[in-house]
Amino acid sequence: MAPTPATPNLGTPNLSTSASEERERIAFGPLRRARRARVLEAMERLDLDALVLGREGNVRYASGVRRLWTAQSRPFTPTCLVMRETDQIVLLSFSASYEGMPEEVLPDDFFSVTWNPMNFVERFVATEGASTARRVGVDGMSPFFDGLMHQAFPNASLVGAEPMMRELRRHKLAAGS
Amino acid sequence: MDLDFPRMRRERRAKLRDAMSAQGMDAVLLVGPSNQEYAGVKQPCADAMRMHYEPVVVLATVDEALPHVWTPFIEGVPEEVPADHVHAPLAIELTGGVEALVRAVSEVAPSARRVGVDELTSPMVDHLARLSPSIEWLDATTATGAARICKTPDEVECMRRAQRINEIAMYDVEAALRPGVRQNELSAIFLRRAFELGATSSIIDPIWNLTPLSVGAGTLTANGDVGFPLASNDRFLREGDLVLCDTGLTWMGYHSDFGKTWICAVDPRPTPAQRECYLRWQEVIEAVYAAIKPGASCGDLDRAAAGVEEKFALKHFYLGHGAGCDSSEPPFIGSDLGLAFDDTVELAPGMVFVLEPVVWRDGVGGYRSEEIVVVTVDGYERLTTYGYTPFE
Repeated sequence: MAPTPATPNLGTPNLSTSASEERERIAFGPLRRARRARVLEAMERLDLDALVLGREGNVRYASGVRRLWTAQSRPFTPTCLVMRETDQIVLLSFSASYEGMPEEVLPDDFFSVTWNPMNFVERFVATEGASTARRVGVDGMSPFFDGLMHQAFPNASLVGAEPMMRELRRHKLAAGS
Repeated sequence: MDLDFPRMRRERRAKLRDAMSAQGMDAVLLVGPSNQEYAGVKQPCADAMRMHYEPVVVLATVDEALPHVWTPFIEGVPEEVPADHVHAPLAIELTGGVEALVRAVSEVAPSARRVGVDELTSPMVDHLARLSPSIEWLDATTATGAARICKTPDEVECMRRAQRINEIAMYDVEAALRPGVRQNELSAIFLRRAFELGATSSIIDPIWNLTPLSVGAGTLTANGDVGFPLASNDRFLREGDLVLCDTGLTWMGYHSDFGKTWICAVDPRPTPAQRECYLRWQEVIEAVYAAIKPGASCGDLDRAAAGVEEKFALKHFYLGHGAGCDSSEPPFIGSDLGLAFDDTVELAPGMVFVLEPVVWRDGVGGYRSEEIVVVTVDGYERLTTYGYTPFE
């Protein structure tokens, strides 16, 4: 008779879909902080003053925010700004609501979805350190937003930062990190 | 109608070539999935634009009827594209892949000097211009946007069928809307039924927005307006909850868009004040419908809505948005681009957009529904058929 496979102890009959972060069934707070620290360390290593992310996986990794997932069709849009010096994150949210935002993203540091690209420029340009940033990492770009990024960061050159994010995300953190 | 996919692809590519010609482009290099779809090439899966490991690249030139495709996903290349136009994939997420891309473009389109590109990977940001000094890289979306904004009859039919799948699935969801159901159960019902009915992909996390009757009773918002859309999770719906739902899927590359306001109850009935919101919403939508005709501007639609209800949309959304190979694409109507911008966009036959006005009375709640319309030669046709239970 074959041995009975061990039943994993899941702790709860309902592991939830997206609510578990709110319930703290896993210590997501330390996980988010550890990921963010790694992003800041990598920015330091690559001498990036700012990081502008548009790829959803990267945005989730750096900000800890699980935004509404859309698939297939979203054209590239820079929606998350990380500032190395101040550790500030400025984030576009699809909702106007603060619900689901981790405490590290302050209520004044997110803005609801916008169709006017100049609103991105205004939010980014108003961020402390944007005007003096020299090197800004980006995980993708479009010709349209490329022009706007030079308005938002007038003294900076754009540097491809997807390899940095890929390297960070490749190594998973242990529990309790 | 008789749906003819080869005809649809042929007509789209002809429109794309015309748009390239109008923009003075020799070619467009397409990395974005919805632009590739428009050129007739499918991606292997509905990823959120992140084709890290299976990138597809499409080059459409103004001189050739059929595009060149670099892909690991041969099934996504339509039958009319000849074998000498189908190439091994390019690793454009790596520097070496960008070098290979530049070589490939120079081989298949040696005379191309003005080339549009829609999106850049990180190594393309660093190396594309440097590696291709003879090419002036332009914004391809000026051409793709112009080609895509008015749909061919085949495209409209694809959207009608996508919307039909979405609506049929939502009948099952509405029937399951009872106190005690969880948001994720509703998502499961919707997704299972949608795929059973032939949907190609789900393109947004299904939204079952539990909406407090006043803004102040909800969570903090960035703009002082209704918190919407909120991500769904495993919370229960309770008797009397006002539910703003929003779902979308694709069928053959075209997007549906479904939004309704429901009440979770054993016997759902809006309060008289809530029904007044719905009736006002009907006045808004009828006023907008009456303004839809070729030659009118998007600004005319804004004014028609504002003539009934001054604040006709949530602050961060709009009266309406285009739909097609993207779920939200031009034209944007009543958005933060502003009325002056909207006045520059003229309605034309084949333009498809989703109208989604909201009538809100703080303390009472409100009404939101999404209606897809296509502009016709003498007015408009509705693609949405779902009703307005329990408000009508």
